[in-house]
Formats: sequence, structure tokens, C-alpha cells
Amino acid sequence: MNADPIDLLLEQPAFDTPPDANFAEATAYCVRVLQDRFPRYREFLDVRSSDPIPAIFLPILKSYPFALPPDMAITRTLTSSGTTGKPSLTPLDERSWDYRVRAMRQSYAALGLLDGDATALCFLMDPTTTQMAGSVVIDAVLRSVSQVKAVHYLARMTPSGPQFLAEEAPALFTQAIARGPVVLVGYPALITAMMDGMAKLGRTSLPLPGGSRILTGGGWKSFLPGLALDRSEFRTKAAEFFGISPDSIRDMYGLSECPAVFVECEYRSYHVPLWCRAEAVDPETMQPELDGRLGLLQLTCPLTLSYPLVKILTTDTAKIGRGCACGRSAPFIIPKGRVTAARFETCAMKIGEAVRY
Amino acid sequence: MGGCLPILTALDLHDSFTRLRTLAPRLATLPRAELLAPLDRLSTMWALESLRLERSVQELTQIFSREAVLRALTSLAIGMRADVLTAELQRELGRADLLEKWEPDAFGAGFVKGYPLGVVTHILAGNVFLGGVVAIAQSLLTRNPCLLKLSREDSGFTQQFVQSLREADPDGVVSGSVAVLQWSSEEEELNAVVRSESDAVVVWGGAAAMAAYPQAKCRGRVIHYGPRLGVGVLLDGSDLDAAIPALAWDVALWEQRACSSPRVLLVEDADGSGTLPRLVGERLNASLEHVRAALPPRSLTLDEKAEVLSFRELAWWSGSGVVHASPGSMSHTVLVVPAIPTDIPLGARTVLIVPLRDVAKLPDVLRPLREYLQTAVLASPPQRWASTVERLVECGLTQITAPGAASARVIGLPHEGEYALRRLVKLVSVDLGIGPLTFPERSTEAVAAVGSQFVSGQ
Repeated sequence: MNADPIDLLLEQPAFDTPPDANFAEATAYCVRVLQDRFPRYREFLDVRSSDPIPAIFLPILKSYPFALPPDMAITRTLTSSGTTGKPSLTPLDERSWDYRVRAMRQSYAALGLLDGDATALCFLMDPTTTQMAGSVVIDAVLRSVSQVKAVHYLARMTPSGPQFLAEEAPALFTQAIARGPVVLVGYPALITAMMDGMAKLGRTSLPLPGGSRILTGGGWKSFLPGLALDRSEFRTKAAEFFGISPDSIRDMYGLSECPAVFVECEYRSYHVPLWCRAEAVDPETMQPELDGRLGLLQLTCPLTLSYPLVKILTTDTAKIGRGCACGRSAPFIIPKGRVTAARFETCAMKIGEAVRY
Repeated sequence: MGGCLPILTALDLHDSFTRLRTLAPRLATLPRAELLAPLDRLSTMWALESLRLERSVQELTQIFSREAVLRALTSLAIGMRADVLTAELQRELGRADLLEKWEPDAFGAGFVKGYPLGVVTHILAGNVFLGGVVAIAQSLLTRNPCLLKLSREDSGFTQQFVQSLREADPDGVVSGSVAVLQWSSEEEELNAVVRSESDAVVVWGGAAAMAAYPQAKCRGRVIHYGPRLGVGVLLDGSDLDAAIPALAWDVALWEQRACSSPRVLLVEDADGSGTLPRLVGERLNASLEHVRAALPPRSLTLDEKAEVLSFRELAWWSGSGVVHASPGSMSHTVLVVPAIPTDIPLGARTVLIVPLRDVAKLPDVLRPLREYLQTAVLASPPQRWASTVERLVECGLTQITAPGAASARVIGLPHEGEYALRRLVKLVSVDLGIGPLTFPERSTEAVAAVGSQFVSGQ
């Protein structure tokens, strides 16, 4: 028997019927560790004792971060992209880091995204230039599997902001294609920018070898100024440009604060792995909405022991669905955007905002 | 003829101005009785128990409580009566016939008459549904044809009211002088037409609306109403049994979205113990719970709920505030905080209670908010009212009301320091000359001849 309940949880197939007992045990363990490490979190649990595990409203953490225990060794501090405001910070100790990488790898593998050898070309910031979760964790996953023969980055973070490595891209593509299947991973906005840039130069396609695929994440609305992407249009355009099946293009959805990543299945559903619980919550009652009804996305994921992120209420709006045609029993998230600070055309002055989402 | 026109182009908007401008001379010279008669008929048409009123109540209760809507429409019906409007003209303009007759001075040498400004555009806010009616009444009483730009949040009531005005005035001189239009504030080409065509622009609303119509870019007079922060002051010795339920009424009536809504309540705390602010917080919470029966709160959107949650959570996590609210409900929130915060919530019946150590320091406490201040609800022992009003005036407040009366008055009192009708009138003088600086050799016979025209010719 494994002594670590989180290990046990991560050993299960990602999208099987959730074993509630394992999840509950892992969650209780995570909460105990966090209570010991974070007095403020312990106080929070005491005050909100009517809820067994109350959720922390995510924007609050940007204004009131927890003080880290002095004896806790932080391996990495991940950041969000910050495209919608101040980036949030997620400090990870070695165990939490390891859980996170395993969780993402398990999700990828369970959806067949790591099948077959490939070269990864990442439309992400080079992780040596950023601590953005999207870059750092994906890099660790890609480098941890033998099927991925090489990983190259087509963007990097500079003091003046993100920089796309346009000059290096053609050679990287040529070399990768010569080696066999390619996996393009990253921001759809950057992939689109590259396709558009090549089209302007007269190149309307860049066929990838059979077995190639694209894995996108983030940046649909606000990654590049003035560029809003439609997922369906992107899929059609990218499939045509790279000469691959639209089914080989998958999107993933996640937050830097949550170790679970939600990857599209063949039917475009963002399934919730069994080490996470996703609910659409009415913030007025804090009760979950029925399936198919809109609420704030609340995520419970007991994989972070180094920061009280076990249960977070996000500002993303979503519905929860079940019974995907793919046959996986795991529920899925239907993301619907993000709440915005209420705006009124009123003669009453709105002064400030409590929380900058 | 004015009307509800679908605006598609700047040309359409120009045409609306042209139509209104051609009506301006007729409106300006219409006998007062003919001007007021259609409005008086509206008073009957919007009377209690009329089908029209009931229909509007049903539609508006999607946004506001039935009680608030009923009372507002009752206020409207009273406010449209010819005798009330005549009294309004008398009070605001000094004389009801200001726009009809030249009035001579005591020497018979100087004459004054009011004239309309011309076509007045009102950029409306959507928070209080009577805003459009007030704008129309102000314009017509001052004989200015008006063009109303509806807010995207408009409840639909302004158009219902204008439709009733057309029924009340089938000949169309009065009703034709009103055009109701709607376009996105982002359509800068149309905004530019308003700036260049309007003889006056009255902007009711938020900072963005104000910024779109600065005086420097507008041809005519610009009048800005808003954005505002309503406050309350509760002094030690006040009758809490009377004051707090009334304050709850003010909070609930327009959901804290009116410029007069008391969103920050300063509670006297002379000894610094925080006893009275805490007590007021608890009792206001109870009264807001109680007032739900009369003024049921509307459902909040997910965005609004997230915002309420953020304020409540921030109070706890910052350790700076105590939240009073009904469990499992966001119908109202009372936050007791040590000082006025940088962020002040809007809407959702949210009130900040802030201790006030010294009433004499009110101007200092409110100084950062001075440019936004308009209405203060004052709960005070009677003997302290007058002195506290003086402090509030020092703070920049221009309307001080008793608890429960923050939004009571639609017309009849100055708005933001001035009578609104006066701002929509230009005073013209004819001076035939008197006094040592007058040309000494002028003909007194000629003066008398001219003067008699102004006295007899009207």
C-alpha cells in the first residue's frame, strides 16, 4: 500500500470513474499539510467551518498572498500569463512540482497525445526566460517522455515583452519535419501569427509529416493586441495550413494555480481528471449549479502542498457537462469566459474595483 | 416631427436635428397653457390603476422592485400636473412667464426675458428609469426641443413615456419636439454630430459619458450631471429606531445605483470605541433584511455576484472590515470598515459604514471624494441639523436629505447646486440706459417709445 494518498490518486487512469474515497483521502491529507504550514489558512478554515473545505476566491490571493513557511524549500514559483491583469504566483516545493508534472503527463497520455515519436516545436516562451506555468510545466512534461525526441522554442520572454523568433522558425521547422512527426504546442495566437506571416510571404501551407499534431492552450482572446481567435476557425485554418486532420488539433484549458490541466478529447470536451473536482458554483450561495448551468468555476485539486490552492473559486465562468460521446466517464468543463467587474452607465460613481480580475 | 428613429448614419442624426430645429420657433412661442396641457393630460394617463401604468410596472419590475416603480410613477403623475409644473417654473425661473414676457426693471429702462437655448441633447444614464422623463420635462418647460440618447441599459420606459406624450399631444408641437434615439457610445461619428449640432448637451452618467462631451469640443453649452457618490452621516443621539429603517429604504429603493444613494455612511464615533458604528452596522443589516418585503431586490448577474463576493472576501482577508449580510444571500451587504477605502462598491445594496471621530473633520474626511459629492443623507438629533448641514456644505455637498428621502424629490429643488431649468435658458436684456454712464444727450422720448413696446407689445 502506498503511504502517500496523492501518489495513489495519480496512479489511477486519468479519466476513469472517480474513486471518491481516494480523492477524499488525498484532499484531507493536503488540507492537513496546508493547515500545518499556513496559520492564516488554518484560521480561514476555522472561520468558514460551515463548509468542510471552503474555497479561496482566487483574485484575493493576488492582493493577499500567504506568507511562506521559512523552512519550506521552494523549487519553482510559477506565474500566470498575466494577460488579464497582475500575474499570480504559485510557489511549489519539490513534491508539488513532481505531482503537477505527473498529472499533466497522465492527462496527455490518457488522451493519446504522447503516442509515437515526435519533435516538439513550442509556440511558448522559452522556459529559460520565464516562469510562466504554461511554459515551465509543459517543458518538463515534454522532456520527461522518451517519445519526444527534441524540444524547441519559437518565442522567448525579453525585458520588453514576448518575442517571436521569426528568423529561427523556418530552420527549426525544416529540421523537425525532416526527423518525422512534429507536435506544435502553444499559444494559438502565436501559431496564427506565424501562419499569417508566412501567407504574406506567399507560403499558404507547410505540410507536416503524418502523425503530427497541434496542442493549443491559452491566448484565445487577449494574447496578442487586437487579435481575437475563434477556436473553430483556427482549427480549420491550421488543419489546412499544416496538412493535418482537424482531430489532430486539441486545445487545453487550465490555470496556473491548479495542477490539473483539462485537455480536449476527440469530441472537444475538456475532461476533468480524477485528481480534480470541477464545479460551476453560484457565488451567492456557494452551492454548485446543476450540470449545464453557468457558474463560477471552482476547482478542488489536492496536488499542491506548498500553497493553499487545494480548493479555489476562480473568476472563470463555466458549465459542467457529463456523458461525453467519447465514452469517458469523467465530467467535462465547458468554459464560457470570465466575469468582469460590473459596469453601469449610471450617474452614481463607480470608484475603484475591489478586485482586479 | 420627432420620434423613435433607428439611427444608422450621421446623416440620419443630422436630419433629426434639422427637424427639431424647425419646430423650435413654434415651441418657443407656444402659449403656456398649450405647452402644459399635454403634460397635464399625461398626469391622468399615468395615474394609479391605469392600464398603462400597470403595464410599465410589470416591465420595470424586471429591474426594480414593484414598490419603487409604483412610487416613482406616482411621483411622475403628480409632477406632470399643470399646477405643479407652473409652480416649478415659478420657483426655478423666478417667474413662470420668464420665457414669455419681457420684465422691466424698476426704472423702466432695462428689460429681461428668457429664451430657449435651442436643441438640447440629453445623454441619458440607465440607472434610474425616470431620468428620461426628467430630461424631457426640463427641456419642454424651457421650450427647448430635445434629442435623447438612450443608455444601452435603458429600461424602455423613456420610449413608453414619449409614446404616451404623442397620444396626449396628437397635433404634435410638444410631442414632436422630442426625439428618442439610441446608438453605441463608441460610434464617435455620431457623438461628433451631437457635439457640433446641439445648442446644449446635458450629460447624465458616468465618467466615460462626461469625457465624450467636454465643453471644449462642443458648440453649445455643456451641463454635466455625474458621476456622483451619495453619502450618509449618522450622528450620536439620533433616533435609530426611526433613522435606520429609513436609511435602509434609501439603500434599497434604487439598489444603490442612483447618484443620491447613500453608499458610504459615516457614523459618529467620538470616543473611538466603534460602538455606534458596529451597532448601526448590525441594525442596518436587519433593516435591509426587513425592507426586502416592501422592496424585493432584483436578481444579480454572475458578474455582479462575483463583485459582491470580492468585496466581502476582501474585507475578511484584509482584516479591515466586518461584513453584515444575510447568510447565503447577496441581497445586501453592510461592510463596517475603519476608513473610506479606495474602492467603493456600486449597486447590490452595498453600504460601507465608516466611523467618524469628529464631525468638524468631515471636510477633511471627504476631501478625496469632493468632486463626486452631491447628496448626503443626514440622521441627526434635531438641534444638530443646522450646524451639520454647514459642515456638509463645506464638504461640497449640495443636497442634504433626511433618512428615507434621498431619492424622494424628482423635481422642485435645485440639482447639483443650481436650478436645472435656469441652465437651459439664456437671459436676454434690453437696456435703454439709465445712470451717470449713459450718453447724456439721448432722447428720453425715444427711450419711452421703445420701452412701451416691451411693456405693451407682449
